[in-house]
Amino acid sequence: MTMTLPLLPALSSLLLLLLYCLSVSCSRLKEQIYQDLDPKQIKSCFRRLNGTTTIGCTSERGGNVGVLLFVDTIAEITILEDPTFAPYVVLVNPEIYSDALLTGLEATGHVTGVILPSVTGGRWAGKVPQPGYSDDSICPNSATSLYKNTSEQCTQGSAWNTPGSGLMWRSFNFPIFYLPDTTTTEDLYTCSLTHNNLTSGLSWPLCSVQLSSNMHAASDSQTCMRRSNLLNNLTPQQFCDPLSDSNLHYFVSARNRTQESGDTRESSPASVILVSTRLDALTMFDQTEVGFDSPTTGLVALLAAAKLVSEKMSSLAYRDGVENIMFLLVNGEAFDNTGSSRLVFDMERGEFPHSLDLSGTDDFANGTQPTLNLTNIRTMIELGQLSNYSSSTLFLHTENNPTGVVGQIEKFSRQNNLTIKKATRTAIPPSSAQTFLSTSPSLHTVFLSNYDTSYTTPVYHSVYDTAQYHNYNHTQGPDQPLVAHLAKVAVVLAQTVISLASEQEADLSPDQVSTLINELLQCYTVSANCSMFHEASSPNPESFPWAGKTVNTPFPQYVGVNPSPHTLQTRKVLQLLTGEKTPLDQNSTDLSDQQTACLTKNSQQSVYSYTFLVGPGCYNGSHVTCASCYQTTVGQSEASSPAFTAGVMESYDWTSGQYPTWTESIWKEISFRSFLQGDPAHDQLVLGVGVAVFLVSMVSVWWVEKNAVLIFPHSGGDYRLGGNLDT
Amino acid sequence: MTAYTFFGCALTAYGTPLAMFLLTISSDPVKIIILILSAFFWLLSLLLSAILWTAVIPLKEELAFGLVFSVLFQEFFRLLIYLLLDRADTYLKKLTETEETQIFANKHILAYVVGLGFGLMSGAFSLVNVLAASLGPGTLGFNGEPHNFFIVSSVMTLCMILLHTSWGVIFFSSLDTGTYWQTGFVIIAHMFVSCLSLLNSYNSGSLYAATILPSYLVLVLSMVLAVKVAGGSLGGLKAAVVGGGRGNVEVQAEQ
Repeated sequence: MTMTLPLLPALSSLLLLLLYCLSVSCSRLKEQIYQDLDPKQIKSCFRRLNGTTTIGCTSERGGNVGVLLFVDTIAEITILEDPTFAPYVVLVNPEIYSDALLTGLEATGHVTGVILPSVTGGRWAGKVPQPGYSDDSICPNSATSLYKNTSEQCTQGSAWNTPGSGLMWRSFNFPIFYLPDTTTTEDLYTCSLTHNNLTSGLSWPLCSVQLSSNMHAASDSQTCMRRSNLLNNLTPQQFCDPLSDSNLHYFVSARNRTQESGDTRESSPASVILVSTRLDALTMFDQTEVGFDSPTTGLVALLAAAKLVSEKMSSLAYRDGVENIMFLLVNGEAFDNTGSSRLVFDMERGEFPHSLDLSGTDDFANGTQPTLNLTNIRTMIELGQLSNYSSSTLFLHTENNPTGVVGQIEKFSRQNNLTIKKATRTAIPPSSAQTFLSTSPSLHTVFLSNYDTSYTTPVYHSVYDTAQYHNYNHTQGPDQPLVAHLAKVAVVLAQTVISLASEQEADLSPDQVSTLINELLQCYTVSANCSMFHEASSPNPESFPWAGKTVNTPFPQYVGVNPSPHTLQTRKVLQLLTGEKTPLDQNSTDLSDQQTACLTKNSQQSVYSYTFLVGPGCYNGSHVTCASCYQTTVGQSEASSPAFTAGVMESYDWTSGQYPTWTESIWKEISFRSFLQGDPAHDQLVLGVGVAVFLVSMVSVWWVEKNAVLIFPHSGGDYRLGGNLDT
Repeated sequence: MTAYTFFGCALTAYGTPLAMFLLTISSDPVKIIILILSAFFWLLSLLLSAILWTAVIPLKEELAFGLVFSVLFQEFFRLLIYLLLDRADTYLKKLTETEETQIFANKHILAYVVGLGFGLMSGAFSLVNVLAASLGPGTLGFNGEPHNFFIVSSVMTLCMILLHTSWGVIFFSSLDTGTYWQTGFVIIAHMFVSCLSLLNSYNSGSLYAATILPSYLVLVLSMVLAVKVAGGSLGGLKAAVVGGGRGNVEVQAEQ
């Protein structure tokens, strides 16, 4: 039959129908029914795994639908036990958000989602849970603690983080969304009040929401990594990624393995003074990991001290026995000290700052650094939380009696009017120092913090540890108490380090760094659109901050699974603060040519790292006017857990707890929409009506067709019945 | 509102036309082809309506303007397909000589198939958007819209599909026999039902009864007229009800 001709245009017009439908009119009905939330406004709790467990939240594949109810006090949870209108999604008053609340919600069995509004404004402004709230546990990093199973270990009675809820480390089978936009949460509250009025009793239709945050990983890291590495598939699927970013290090003096005579030399034992702090923060919710007290105060103080030390040490000589000072920024410490574990692991294998595998390549023909390991470290000074929110006293936690260091710190603190006290608690707090001490137990260690026996900040590792909470305001200038305090700490630290390294007293004043500290605090905790980040960036017009949407939030300080903007930017800041401008041997005025010339200096040597940065006074608004090449001794090293390195992963016992094994789940979409949900009985009625209509019409049409001859006797056409009946 | 509503609405609207298709058309390939051809003609009329709507920018928001011209275009294309099939009648008869089909022998069957084609495509366009929206967990009502929107849409769609079928029969027969008042009836009835549906968007659904009942009244009228025009009779219907199922014709025996 060649009558297929009309089929082709019919099919093509059906395609047109689909396209028309998809483009314009089909969405209008959906828009009337659903109110979608911009995915960028959703900060969702997500799934992470380690060697033995899963933590975090996930939703069903299509999302979790539930009737929206507002819970104001913990006692109101009993409403959720009513199965008539179940399941429910609960909008909670932030003040009651706690371990007890979530346990209660889980126990009802009818909760399919939790929404946490923000406290930055609106109805719940300032309603931080009292007396404090922390996503982390009361004993952070207890699994890898130096004092595990000893008398000094952290327990319920002697907790470091007393407001700790431990919610970060629990696993929920429903999503928990943090919605920072106060207009959205107010709308949700109004919706639930209008349509789901509990006082007059619930009745369909009810205001409902759908939370979608399906996580692909399950079980534990070992299973997940095995599933992700299956090679028997044309389209391989990843389920999780190991947590990994970079640690940053800065050596005050350049280290060249090759001497002028041509011999190679290695680092001498106990010749490096180490100053370190953390780079990362932790919260339950994605992209909200910005910690003011931890880690920003320590980070900013270290950056300022590094600048002071680098300036002074360029003109001073080291004392006997000391060769260098290293400033270290460790990443991933919130997850069982991932970064410091990897650092120590690399050091033990002779791969810090990088592997010296020179066979067959001339990667390092023009100079390389000698390796560094723990025996080369003389003293370690670590910075913890430094905010003077509760008190301006700085506490010293020490290990192995570093009397020399302590003496210097006390001397310079007196000079700078900083109150110093030795901590009464003998154990060192959870820190990178614990990792170093576990491998090198006799290391002289000093840990500086604003607390003695337990954290004074009530909002450690939570979404509430913000600039607003600590009353930091950039416009109040560098003289505000917080900035002045941090400047003093930075100066004391710098003078101590210089004195330990060169036996000279440096004449430094907090005014030299208070402006810098004010700028850095603004950059790290208020907005990444700040002058320091503009100066410390490449002039490439297509990269941050010269292109793209203007950011008005800080970079998340989460270790993540990829190099994060936070780490990249911090490295550039460190390079800008401690680097020296080098002239380039070419006279092109084109910035990209200069950049290429600058970056080629990095090839074939690892002693210096060259970077092309805008620098101070070289930009106007969003327009770059000039830039310079900086010669620095800043480097970075991998911060992912040793358990995921090539040689270790195949035979590693994942339940042993020897190394941290944290991975992050992969997910496809996170979405949120609100709508009105109709009576299920109505739905079933409609289905019943449809089936009935179909059956009745089938029967009727069949009957009419069978009796067509009788019903249409005068239809006046030829019938070919049989062939011998012709009218 | 979930899969229940989706299937319920789909079956309500498309149940009867599906039954008609399955039982009267699907067995005959030529009927299927003519069905698709007439559906395509309806699509062309929609294309023309859309072009007009895009072209006349100031009246884009006025639903009534687009609606009136859409009705006129649909009827125009019904005329076009009539003319096409009429002109090609001999050729089509020759082409289907070897096929066992009655469609070109009995003009009313052809008209019925064409009408059903129009109706199916019109029904598809009316409801597929609504059905897609009904699949999710939410329902209308945030801004005071009526909750029974989905089922009412399906009921209206069913009405339109059956109306198109009847009008096809009436239209073709009227042009064959020259009874042009029936042609006028089709056009006026179509305009009436379409304009009546404009009332649906007012008063958030309280006027649903005022649009559905008259539309179904017009449907009954059109079906009765169509059956009459196709040669049906009340007596025949009674005979079928009483002694139905024999399926043979009583012929006067030759003396």
